Amino acid sequence: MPILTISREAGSFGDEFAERLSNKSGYTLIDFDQMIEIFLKPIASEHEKQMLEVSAKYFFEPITTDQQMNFKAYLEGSIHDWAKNHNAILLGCGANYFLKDHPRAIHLRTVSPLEIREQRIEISQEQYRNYLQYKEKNKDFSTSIDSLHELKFMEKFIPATQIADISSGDLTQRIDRQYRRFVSTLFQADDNQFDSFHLILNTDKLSLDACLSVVNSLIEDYEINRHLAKQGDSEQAILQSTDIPEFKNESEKEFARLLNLYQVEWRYEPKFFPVEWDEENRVTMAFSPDFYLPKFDLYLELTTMDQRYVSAKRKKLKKLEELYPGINVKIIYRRDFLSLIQRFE
Amino acid sequence: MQDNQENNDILFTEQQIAKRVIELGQQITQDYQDSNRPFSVIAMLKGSTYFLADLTRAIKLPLKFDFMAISQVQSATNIVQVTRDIEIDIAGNDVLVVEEIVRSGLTTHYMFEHLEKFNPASINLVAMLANPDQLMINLPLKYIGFEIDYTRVVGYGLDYREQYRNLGYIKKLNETY
Repeated sequence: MPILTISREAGSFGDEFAERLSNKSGYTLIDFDQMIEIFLKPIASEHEKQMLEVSAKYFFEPITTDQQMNFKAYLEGSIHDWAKNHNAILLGCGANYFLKDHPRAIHLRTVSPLEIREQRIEISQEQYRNYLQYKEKNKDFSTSIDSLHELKFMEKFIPATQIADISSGDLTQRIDRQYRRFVSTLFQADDNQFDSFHLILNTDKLSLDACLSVVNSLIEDYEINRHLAKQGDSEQAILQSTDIPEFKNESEKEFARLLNLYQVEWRYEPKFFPVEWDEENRVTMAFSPDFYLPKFDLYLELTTMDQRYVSAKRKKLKKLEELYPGINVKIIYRRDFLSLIQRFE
Repeated sequence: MQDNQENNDILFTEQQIAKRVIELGQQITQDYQDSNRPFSVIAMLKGSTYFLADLTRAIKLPLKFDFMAISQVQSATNIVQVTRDIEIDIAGNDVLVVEEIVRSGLTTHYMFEHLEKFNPASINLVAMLANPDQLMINLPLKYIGFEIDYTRVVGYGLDYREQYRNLGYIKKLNETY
């Protein structure tokens, strides 16, 4: 599968669409804050990361380890390298500009008429007011609400009470303006120029299910073309993974070959699951299963190389199952693996 | 004699196998006797031939059976393909797939995917041996003869490099995965 970027107008259901696409495809959804955390962690201090989250101008500051390079150039290089062999959905943050001509990227944008978007923002504001009231009564309440993502995003720029109380029209325009300003400052581009997108989805005319279906067709088409280009034989093309990823070891490579042998569709390390956080809510431990089989909604983790890691993996798996109930993960042990390869040896 | 291993390598004797096959046959007969659909049994070559022969005689229902085989095809795509397909019509039938052993479930799943193209009314699985801990993919494994662990086994149709299939019992190969 390619890398998908999703750009959105305020109130166009871009966040909801991204969330559902992630759930359906099994691919990790990365928003702006996560992008900063993942790609800039090696070089940015906590203060710098906070500044980058609220100021596009700060991206032009030089990084400490290399005064010749600024955060924008570093981030662009990191995302480009990462996108060569990873699959994910990047939401907002100008990802479509960072990966403008990347061969594996498909750029999507969600739009809707202003009037409709204002109505949706008004509904979100109502939910947001309830959220604030509940939070006021329950001081420990820290659960994020996906449907309020856009409004919570605005908390960085204007006080929460304003978000709750100003008119939906004003708020919609302020969010739009915030998006536009970010793109204009960072990329000297106009956020209303649509020529860089593969697909623009009008969520006023299309349901989210219809949008998912259209995007799925687009992905399939992309995979077929990529595969045929590699195989050079339309009759023999079997779809498994879009590209051969960089496996960590020979066992993973062999396991992928076995799945291909049985024509079982798979994806390599499509998602990471945080399983431990520190006091400041930063992820300190995550689990990224090696394979995902979409047809079975099944994650597989191979433990074939060094059996010393088995108990550590079991511990992680236990945490994963506690934190993400309903997730279907299985560890493939060395003897499972040997049994599998024995059949056609 | 092909087999000169000691008796303590035997996991399931001929008598145990015969008794269990009769029990499976009775259970299957009971489960399917009220269905008004035709009943078909499909077995994978070559390992399940003895099990198929014994089991179908223990099922006291009208039935038809057929075989299929899959093999790794050496080609640019290097995939598993059906090399011997069924010749009977199973559309609208209750189908029971017979396997001598189910471990990861990948082979059986491939077989199921293939058979589902023929539009059976239902499809279930009976395995002489299965290791549920090893099962990677969920399958409708309704009937199991015996549960086993990771031990490599031969006999009663199961082979090691085409040997041992004709043993009446099932024994360890003295090698685990």
